[in-house]
Amino acid sequence: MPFHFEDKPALVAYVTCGDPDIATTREVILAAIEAGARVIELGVPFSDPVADGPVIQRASERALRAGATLAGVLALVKSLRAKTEVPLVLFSYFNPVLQMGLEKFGGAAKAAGADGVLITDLTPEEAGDYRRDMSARGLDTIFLAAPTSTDERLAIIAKATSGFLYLISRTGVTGAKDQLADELPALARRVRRVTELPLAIGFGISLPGHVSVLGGLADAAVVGSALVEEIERAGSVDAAAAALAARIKLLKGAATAGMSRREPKA
Amino acid sequence: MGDHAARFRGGSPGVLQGTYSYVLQDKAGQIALTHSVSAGLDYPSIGPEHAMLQDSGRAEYVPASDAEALAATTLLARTEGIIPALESAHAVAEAIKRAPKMKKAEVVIVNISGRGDKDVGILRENLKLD
Repeated sequence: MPFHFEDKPALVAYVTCGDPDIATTREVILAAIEAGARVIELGVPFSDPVADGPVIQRASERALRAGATLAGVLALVKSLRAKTEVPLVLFSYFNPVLQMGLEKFGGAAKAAGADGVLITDLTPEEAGDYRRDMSARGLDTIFLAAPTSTDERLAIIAKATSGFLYLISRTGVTGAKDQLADELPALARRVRRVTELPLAIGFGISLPGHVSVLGGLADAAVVGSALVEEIERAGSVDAAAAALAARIKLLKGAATAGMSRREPKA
Repeated sequence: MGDHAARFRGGSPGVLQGTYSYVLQDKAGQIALTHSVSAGLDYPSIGPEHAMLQDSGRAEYVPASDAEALAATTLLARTEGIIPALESAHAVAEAIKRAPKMKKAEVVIVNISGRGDKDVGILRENLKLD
């Protein structure tokens, strides 16, 4: 079912789970929700995170060293679901899910209370079994579209996607950048032409200015590395939760400041 | 984990960098560190064509240790004047193991797929040639 995003753009918060431990992740996610995050992406740490830049690479290494597992992330989803109604999306590379087994994973994710799954390194062509097993459980399958995707490919990606479409704002790996790509408005328009699904834009989103521009282009803005970096810098669970909440509030202010609905001139 | 790169012997099916093949990994699907004296083999997965040939039984894959590959390099260099790449030296090592058990009339073909000029630095270090 398509996600419903009220704010333009709604804030989607990504956190690498288990960095530095699952208890901290739980606290920072609850703080992010309290501060106004509308969807949480729970990053499953992976040894070879090819789509991620240095910040999330480091977070993944810390989490794995501390013993984080997919099973542990699913237990975290269950614990969060007992506290909040905010949509929870599992964000993973394919291999940990494959090793658990697609059916077992789908069943466990649904039972824990997850709403959807995003697999970074799975293409629609290879995703037949995965889509069948997730949709059988009522889990949305979110796929990534990129600036390099042709119109034909965007249509294939959109067709495989449910919940919302995740558009990567620029080429390259995850990580905060000062400026959004100049081509982003044209890219977002190309995506809108092939799908009615809500559109989330991520990669490089960290500043209030980004969020206000995205208000005119997308339904949601995904913030990841900027939040993970706050957790890395913080000296305690409380400090991490406070820093995350402050960053979300700052970004949310830009979303609701009124400038966000302006359509940029083509 | 982390002390070899024998992917058929120690690996299991998984996805790494977009490819479904044999992968050195733990039970949770985290990719293992690898070690091989040969840079071209020092990778936790293997070309999917090889995985298919192994599974269909059309080819048999056997590992060789660093020491065996280095000894094979030395032997081939000294007897034939050919310095094999360290990757190819693994195949030479298998030929050395099998040849004594074969009949004189039987023919062995070893594909030396790369040259060892590129490996002289590694050879110097490992064979203590200085």
